[in-house]
Formats: sequence, structure tokens, C-alpha cells
Amino acid sequence: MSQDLKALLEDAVAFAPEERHSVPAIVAAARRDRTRRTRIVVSLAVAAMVVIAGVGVGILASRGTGREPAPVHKVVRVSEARPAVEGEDFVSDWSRDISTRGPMPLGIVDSGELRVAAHDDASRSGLLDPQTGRVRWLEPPPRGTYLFDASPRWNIYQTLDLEELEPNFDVQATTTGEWSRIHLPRSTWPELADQPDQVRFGGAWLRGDLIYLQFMTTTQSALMTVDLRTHETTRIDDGGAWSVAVGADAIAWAPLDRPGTVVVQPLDGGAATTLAVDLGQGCRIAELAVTATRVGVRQLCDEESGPVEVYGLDGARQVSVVDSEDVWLALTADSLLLVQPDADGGGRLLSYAFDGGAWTWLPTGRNPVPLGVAGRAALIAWTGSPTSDDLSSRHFAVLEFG
Amino acid sequence: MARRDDEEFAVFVAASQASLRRTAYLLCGDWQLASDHVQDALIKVFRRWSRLHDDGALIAYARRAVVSVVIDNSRRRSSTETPLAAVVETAATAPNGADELVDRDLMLRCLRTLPARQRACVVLRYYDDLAVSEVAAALGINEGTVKSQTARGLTALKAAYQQATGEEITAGGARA
Repeated sequence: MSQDLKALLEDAVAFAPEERHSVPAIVAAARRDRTRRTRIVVSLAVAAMVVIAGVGVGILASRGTGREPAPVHKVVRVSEARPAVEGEDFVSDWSRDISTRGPMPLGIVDSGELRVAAHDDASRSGLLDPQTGRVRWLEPPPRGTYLFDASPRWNIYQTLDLEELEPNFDVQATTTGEWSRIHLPRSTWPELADQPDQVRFGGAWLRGDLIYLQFMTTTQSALMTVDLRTHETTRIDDGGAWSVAVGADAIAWAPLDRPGTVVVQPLDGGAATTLAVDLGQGCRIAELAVTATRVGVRQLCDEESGPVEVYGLDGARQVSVVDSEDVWLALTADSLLLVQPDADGGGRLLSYAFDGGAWTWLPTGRNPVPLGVAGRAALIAWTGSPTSDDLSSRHFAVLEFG
Repeated sequence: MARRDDEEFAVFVAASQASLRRTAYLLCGDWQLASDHVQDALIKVFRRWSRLHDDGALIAYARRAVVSVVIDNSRRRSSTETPLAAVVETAATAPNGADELVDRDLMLRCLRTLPARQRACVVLRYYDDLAVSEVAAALGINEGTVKSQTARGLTALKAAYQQATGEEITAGGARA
């Protein structure tokens, strides 16, 4: 015997008790809430004016006492994290143990597809749909290189000249199928003042018709673009940065000549915004992450791990993590991801949901690393399993947060 | 907000409240909680009334708000939820004299064994008759995730129901 689900669901709600709230009561409650919120906003504005005035008076009266206005953002602790619940805190769109045969994940592209290489032939690349598990294998490049990014218009393969450590890109225009090569010798690299002889290639990202390239020393970074249509290069970091980030919708950098600021440039051509970061004594901006709506900032203070904070693009500080020993920082559309060292040195991946305001830790094995972000999803890699000490397996998963 | 907006909001509440409350009940399993969730959701609707009213997205936003409120609430309550084994055992050993009540209660209990997002996918697809794209919009996730979450939820729901009753659930006719 079988039962129809729709009929069972309708039956389950067939005898609803009388509604407690009348329509006027809900309208009144909504209106009261709106009025209350308006009062809160007005109160906060007045309070902010009072605080600003008070701080001004305080500075004049007792310069250097270090008093700060009361925080209006969330101060959170990773130590409050609870185990994440699949289906509520995150969704696993795809996962596999690459010890078995099958495509090897290389990264995630903006569409949410995974860049993969064939298990037995690393020069054979494709794009895997996490929802179906199907791979769309791509035409191999003229030289033996690996797929580093892809979009509807371009497939980009990268090789590193191992002698000079200079990047080369083999670029295929998907509309015509034509190939071209971009070679970036050191003479084309941006200069960095602190260690001019130690500049190295840091990474690359495909956005629209541009490749964004990071060059870096131990403490500084530079960002430049190569236009795939003209191969023209342009430097875009105001002459050097403490750190840079390239997101799907915006880029960010912390200019060397303006410590405590972060410039965010939307990729849709919108105006750049400069945010003020609350930089601690002896601290510098060591790591950035950027989305369409937020910037994540990790500070390094006297070369020790400093605070992690998240700012809205309006400049408002939204979240401060006060007990982080962060080794990785990433932002998805709705969550902050941190990898924290744990007691046995294996690391733990934590997620903070901006909407729900809760920390959770994810059930991964050891050494979890977010390899890339696409919207709400992130590609995560780790070794072993959450329940075993066997570290022989390597796992990859696409997890969706928020 | 102008008085005319108040009146239009009242009309919307009157028209949508019962339906939203039934959806909320299937998601949370408690009529009183469902009423509270719907009120919270409608307050969210009221805050954005002008914008929503202009682009005709009222019911979709209201449904999304309900689901969001229920899931947020379930996160806070997740530590108190009942494990599957206890749920099914309780349902299966209920007295025979209250079959109809038990049937209704059983479906709620089986739904409660699903993670919140899978539960929302199943309810929105098979009770509210939403298309995959509409569920994706309501939950703020992509369509592929809706499909996979619905499939997993459906499998788990069928298993829980069969374990409790020995009967199968058929689920046909959902919109593409």
C-alpha cells in the first residue's frame, strides 16, 4: 500500500487551530516594530554624536589615554563554535576521496564548477558540475599546462617557467577556439620597494577579460592586470600594498602609503571605496578577502597573529573575532571561513554565519584548506577523515554556507 | 508608511496568513510557533513593503521570510530535537484509537527527522507546489542544490515513513 505525499501533507495541516493573531494585531505589531526601529536608529545617531563629541572632549582633556567609543558591531569568539549540522549550517554539494580514481580538483571557478585534471593525465583538464558530478573535458592546450581558470569567454592554462619562475599563460578564446600565449618576464613585473630582488609571482585570477596577477615579497604585494584581448599590462595597487585580494565581484588592496586603509574596487566599473581599518599598535594588514558586500581583514601584530575583522563596504565594522589564531581567511557570500590550529596541530575549519551570528566547525579531517570560493560555496580540501587517524586519503568537498 | 499602505498590507496579511502559517507548521511542527514565525516574517515584509509592493514580489518574499525565520529558529533549538529512532518508535506505538490524529502527527514527526533545509525543500516542492526555481529563490540557494536537497529529503522521509508504517510514500506531480 502506498500513500501520496501531497495528500499526507495536506492532511497534516487540515485541522489548524484558530489563529491567535488577528490581521489588525499583526499590522499593529509590524507598525510598532517599525517605529521601534526608527527610534533605535535615531537613538544610535544621537548616541554616536554624543560619543564623537565625548571622544573629542576626551582627547582634548586627556590626550593619549587610548579610550575608544563603545563598539556597535559584533564581537565574536571562535571558542564559542559548535559542531555544524549538515542541511542547516551547510550543504555538501559534492565530495570525494581522491585516493580513488576520478577527476582531481584544482579549484573552483565563478560559475561554481570545479576545475579538474584527469586522474591519469594531469594535462587533460575539464570543468566538473558539483550538482551532477559530470565533467566537461576541454580541448587540450598546445603545450602541457594545467587549467587555471575558465569563463564563458576564456579558458586559461598556466605554466611556470621553473628556471626563471615566470608565469606563462596559454589562452583560448572560446568563441573562436583560437589560442594565444602571454609570457610575463621579470622586466614586466611591478617593483616592490622593501625587497626588490625578492619579488615573486604570487597568483592569478581571471575576471571578465582581464587576468589579475599578484606579485609579492615577504611583507608587500602588487596587483596588475593583463588584458586578454590586447595583452596590455596595467598596475592597479597605488604603488604597493600590504596585501591584496581578488574576489568574484571586487578587488581590494591595502596601500603601503596609507596604513590602516583598504581600497575596494568593484569589478563592474563602479567607484572605488576606501575603508578605514582599526589598526592596532605594531600591526599591519596581512591578509584580505573581499566579496560584493564585505571585506575581511586579518592583522599581523609584531609578526604574531592579530585580530580578524569584517567590514561592510559602507565602512562599518560588522564583526571582530577576538580569539582567532587564524591561518586561513576566506569570505563566502554569507559567511566568514577561518582555519584555526587545533590541539594536535591538524587545524579546524570554522564558519561564521553573518545572518545567524553563530560559529560552527565543519566535520573535516586534518589540515582543512579553503581552495576557492564561488558565491555561497567553497571548495575545501583536507586529509584523512573526521573519525579516523588514518591520513592516507585526501578529500575534497564543495560546501555551501548560509 | 501611508495609511493606504497600511490598508493594502492588511489585505495582504488576510489573504496570505493562513497559507503561510500552514507552511510554517509543516516546517516547525507546532501551530503556536508557526503563528509566531509568520508574524515575525510579516513584520519583515512590512519593513520592505514599498519596494516589494512595487515589484510584485510580495508572496515570494513573505514565503522566503517564513522559511528563514523557521530555519533560524530551528538552529537555535537544534540541540533539543528528538533523534530519528525515538521519533519513529513513538509514532509506531501510538494507540490505535486515534489513527487519524496519529497519521497527521506521524507525518510531522517524519518531517522533523529531516535537516531544516531538506525539510523546507520537500514542503515547498510538494505542499506549496513551487517550481525548482521558486524554491531556489525562497531559500536563496541555487537550483541544483534544491534538486539534491529535495531528493535527499524525500529519500529520508520515505524511509522514516516506511519504518513507522510499513507503507510507501509516492511523490509525483511536482512542478519542474
